[in-house]
Amino acid sequence: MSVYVTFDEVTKVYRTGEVTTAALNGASFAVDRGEFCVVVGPSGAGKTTILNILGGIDRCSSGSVVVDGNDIAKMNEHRLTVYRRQDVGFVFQFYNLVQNLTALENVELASEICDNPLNPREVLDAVELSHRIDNFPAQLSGGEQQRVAIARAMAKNPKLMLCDEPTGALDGATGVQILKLLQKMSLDSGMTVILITHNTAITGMAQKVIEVRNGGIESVYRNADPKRAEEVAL
Amino acid sequence: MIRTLRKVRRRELLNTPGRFIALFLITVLGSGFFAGLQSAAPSMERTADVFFRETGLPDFRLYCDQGIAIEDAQAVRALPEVADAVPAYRVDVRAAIGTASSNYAIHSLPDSHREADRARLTLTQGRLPETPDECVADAYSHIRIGDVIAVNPDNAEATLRLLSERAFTVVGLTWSADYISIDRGNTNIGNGRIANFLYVPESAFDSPYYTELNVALANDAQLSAFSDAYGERTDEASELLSRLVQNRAEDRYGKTAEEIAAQIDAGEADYANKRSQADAGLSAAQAELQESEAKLNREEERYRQYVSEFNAGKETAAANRKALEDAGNALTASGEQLAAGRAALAAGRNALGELSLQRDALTAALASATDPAAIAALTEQLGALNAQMTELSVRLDAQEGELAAGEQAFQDGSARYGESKARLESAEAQLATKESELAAFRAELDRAAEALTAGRAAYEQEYASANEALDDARKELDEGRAALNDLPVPAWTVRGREDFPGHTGFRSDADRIGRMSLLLPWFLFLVAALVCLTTMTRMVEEHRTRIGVLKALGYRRRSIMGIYQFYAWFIGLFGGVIGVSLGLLIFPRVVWNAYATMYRMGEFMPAVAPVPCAVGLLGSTVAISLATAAACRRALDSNAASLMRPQAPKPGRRVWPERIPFLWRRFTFSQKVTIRNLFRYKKRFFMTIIGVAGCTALLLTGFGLQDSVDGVVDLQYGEVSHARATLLLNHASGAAEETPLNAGSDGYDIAYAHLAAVDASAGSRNNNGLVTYLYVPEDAEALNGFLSFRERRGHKPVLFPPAGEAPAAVITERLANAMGVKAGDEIAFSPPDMKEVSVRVAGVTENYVYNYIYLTSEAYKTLFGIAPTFTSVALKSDLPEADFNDLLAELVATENVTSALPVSQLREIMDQVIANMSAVVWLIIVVASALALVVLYNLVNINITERERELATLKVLGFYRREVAAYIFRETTTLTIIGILIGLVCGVFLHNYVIASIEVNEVMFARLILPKSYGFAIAFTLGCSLLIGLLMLPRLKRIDPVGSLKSVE
Repeated sequence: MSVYVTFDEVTKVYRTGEVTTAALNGASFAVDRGEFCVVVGPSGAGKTTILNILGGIDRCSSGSVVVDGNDIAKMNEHRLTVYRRQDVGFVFQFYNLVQNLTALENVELASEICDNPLNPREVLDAVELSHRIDNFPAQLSGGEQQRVAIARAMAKNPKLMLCDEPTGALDGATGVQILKLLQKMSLDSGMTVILITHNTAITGMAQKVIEVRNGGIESVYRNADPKRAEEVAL
Repeated sequence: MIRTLRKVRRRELLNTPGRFIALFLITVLGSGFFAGLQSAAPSMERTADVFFRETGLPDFRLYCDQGIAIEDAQAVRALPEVADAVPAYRVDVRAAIGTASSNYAIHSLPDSHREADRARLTLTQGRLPETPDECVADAYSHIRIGDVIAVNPDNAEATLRLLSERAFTVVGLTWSADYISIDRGNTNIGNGRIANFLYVPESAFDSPYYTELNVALANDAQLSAFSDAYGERTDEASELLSRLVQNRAEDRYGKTAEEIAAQIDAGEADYANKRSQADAGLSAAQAELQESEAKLNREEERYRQYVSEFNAGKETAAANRKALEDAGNALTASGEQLAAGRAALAAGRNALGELSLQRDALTAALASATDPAAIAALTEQLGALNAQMTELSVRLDAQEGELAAGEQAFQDGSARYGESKARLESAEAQLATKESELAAFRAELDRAAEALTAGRAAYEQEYASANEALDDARKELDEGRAALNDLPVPAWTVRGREDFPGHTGFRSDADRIGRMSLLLPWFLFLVAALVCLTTMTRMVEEHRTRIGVLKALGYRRRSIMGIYQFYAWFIGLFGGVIGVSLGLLIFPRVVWNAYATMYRMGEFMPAVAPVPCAVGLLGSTVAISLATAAACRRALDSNAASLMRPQAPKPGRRVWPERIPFLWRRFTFSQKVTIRNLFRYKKRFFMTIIGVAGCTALLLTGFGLQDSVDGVVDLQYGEVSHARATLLLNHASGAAEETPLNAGSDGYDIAYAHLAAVDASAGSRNNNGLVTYLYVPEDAEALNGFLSFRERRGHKPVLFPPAGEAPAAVITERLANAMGVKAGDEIAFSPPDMKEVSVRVAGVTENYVYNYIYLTSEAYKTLFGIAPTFTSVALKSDLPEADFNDLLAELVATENVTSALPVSQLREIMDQVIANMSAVVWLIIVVASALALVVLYNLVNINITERERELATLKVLGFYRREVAAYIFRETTTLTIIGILIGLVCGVFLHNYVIASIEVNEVMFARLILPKSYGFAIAFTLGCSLLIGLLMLPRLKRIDPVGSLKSVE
């Protein structure tokens, strides 16, 4: 397996007025192509910062972030946008669906802008929402909304799927369903998935687990035999 | 108030500058526009009022056709209602600088000792005149100091008599409070318009009678000249003054009549006296003449006697002369006879002597003779000879005796003849003397006759002259008597300010602005209220959580509401104060400046109209406050817990276009999104649409206004009326008459018409106070070349009914609208001093300037029973302007033409109106653009803040910057376009409404908006939208996906 993502000595300093807060100080790790990776750590450890930097919606203060051979830390705004557009799929804790669009349209919103999109209907079918494609987010349950969000991320056919606490706002069973979906997707399409969570229970289903604490990487390890999502107890 | 809440309040103001600015601006705009525009008319009025007061503008001007005596002034001044009555001179003359003649109004200078009077003139250059031959002239003219203005000698006699000077040197230029506008008023000389005014010292006038009396009412309450109270007061005063001057007139009449009668009586006595004197003198002269004549006749007789005597003498003398001559002749003859006798005698003697000789010879021969025979023969011969000699001697002796006797007789005759001759000669001498005596007598007689003739001629002459003098005296007396019979009662005219030049125009301009300012701001107010409502609603939505927290903490509803109400009131009052102040500062002045070219009234005096200012200030505050209350109520009604939960985002909904699949399918994805969003936020939708529509409508109205006013000139004088001037005649004429006007048809065409103002105010279909003229062409056919009778829409010709049918009138469109009639309806009107008639409307014709009822001559005759009198002449010409003016001057100089009004003058006035409109149009453009900017800014601002999350999501999804911008601005653009479309429709109506409400009495503005105005309105609105887009781009760029998506707010 080849290395797909390399974090090398990445620091991130937030400056709010005169107070500077280091969210990351010298974090280094690597993720292989097609790997299902879980970043775990307590609140404020810097895991969201890692994800944001990886997703190209935030920039690191120093260090290099190489994705598929390109250092996104050195990209300008436009190239970063292209990177987000073509290579990255994002799933948020609070779904961030566009309220005014139906499920299908939310997916289309993403598929319309990239080069090799998947068929939105098929993607929604894949997340088992073909019966609700014309519903608005407000008419969907949390799990369903998150599945739409995943479908939206998937439809872009990204090489890298980033998920920020995707189960955080869901009850256990629904959360498992979502995890199952993500795992299946990773296995089926060979997509690299990086999921961040504070919930250590999820680490069991990861191929690689990165533990973050106080802006640094505490440990990186591989699960020789990752559990199936159904086995995760949320 | 709790301290913390106070802190929250304060921070609220500072932390969201976008919202603050939007609310602040719309408040400023709404209240400023409202208060400012509504203060424009009061400001115009106040400026005028202050000016009127400072310059002591009289409330009335009184005129009397027989002049105004100083006593009249005193009588008027004595009225308790009158503060002052100042008599003055004014005379309108034709005068020239060099050769350029025009009409001047010459005024006597106001009294420079009185402060108000002094203020009436504002010198711009030079000084006031000091001597009667100096003047100050109109500053609004080409006159320069040093020019000499010479009064033309061809002015009316009465006019020239008024002036003691014939030329005035300009020593200064001035503005005058008597002329508040550039309109110098009408006159009855020349072309009927005053070109410039002059002020000269009173001493330049030479008349005991003044020509006008300026009356100022006591105005302790300082009433505005534009108030109803002033109107009532002047109405009363006008009646009072009319009554007073009526009495003065009758008084004057009585006195004058008495004076004249007394004069006539004295004249009669004088006449009688002179008559008798003349008669006596003449008869004496005549008697003398007669005596002389008799004497002459007697002498003549005597002369004739002498002459006959003389002639008799002369005849006798002539007879005597003849006898004498005969006697002389006889004498001469007898003398000759005697001489012949003597000669014969002498011859006899001679013969005798010869005989004697012969005898001697014979005797001798005898004696010697020896031969007897010879002796005997000789003796015998001697004897015969002796015998012969004896016989002869006897005969000679007898003859000698006879001759002696003859000589005696001849001598006697000669003596007698001499006597007679002497006698005759003395008689003849006597006659000659007598003849010369007679000649002298004759000469004497001739002289006497001549003297007599001369005397007679002298008498005749004296007689004639005496008679003539007396006849003259008689005639004068008779005339005097006739004059006394015809003595006119002095006619007074009381003129209020509405008749002063420029005043009516100013009043209607102020009214017009007032009317416009009533309509436009309401609309802006509505938009402002909507902006406030949406903004405050959004604000409260953003603060749900905080409200929930405060509620949970136990803050009372009122305290929480207080935060927002404070915000509302702060912005309302702050924005209101700034807006009202700016509005008051800008609008009245801009409007005033727009009219400043037309009016001249001293310093601008802004007026604070209390009601609009209060409404502008509190209205905006109350509007925001109510919007705030409405927005807060829902939040406060919810319980704390639900408030603190994340607000359920406004759910997406299907919108009605989706139910039309074939339509919906045609939209692209982004268009669908846009449409849904548009329907999602209804308040914003309406706010934006109304705001943008309002902007477009205002702009269209503004640009259209210019088109309309502009169009009037071109339409009226290009397409409707083709006459270049109107002439007014002294007495009725017609095309058939032989007049200079008809004869001099070089370069112009004319059409006669009857023109009279009519009263069409009766009944339900009245003309709403429009000044309406009845126009009766002499020849309706011929008039067609001068006026186009056609409908405005479609240009269908409007025709008079054919001759023989029932009479029907063609009326102008404005009038038809005011009366609410159309073709086929009946209208009623009455010309001055005539019965009211009803007539069917044959058609409504396009017309923009003045209002007319057109009738054919035949129809007029049928309706009124009399023939119309044609005293108005429409004049058409292709001459170039300069030649045309010369032509007019020439025509005005002809006897029957009283005045000429060239169309170019009307055009000038209209052009001025257009120039004024331009400033107003720019004001509208600025306000409309500001409105559009604020509304669009607010919309975009709210859209961006509210949908920050959505936008952040798009950014995360990898939307390019321009795609994100398009996502937001597509809505704005769509709303803008919808707003523009609605605005264009509204604009057409608004334009119509504004035009209708600002239309002056005399003019119908064209209902016309040019395509370019639509273009401008659209371009300006789109420009505003674009500008906002550019301004908001950085805001979009600043949206940070990390911050926005971190958590639910």
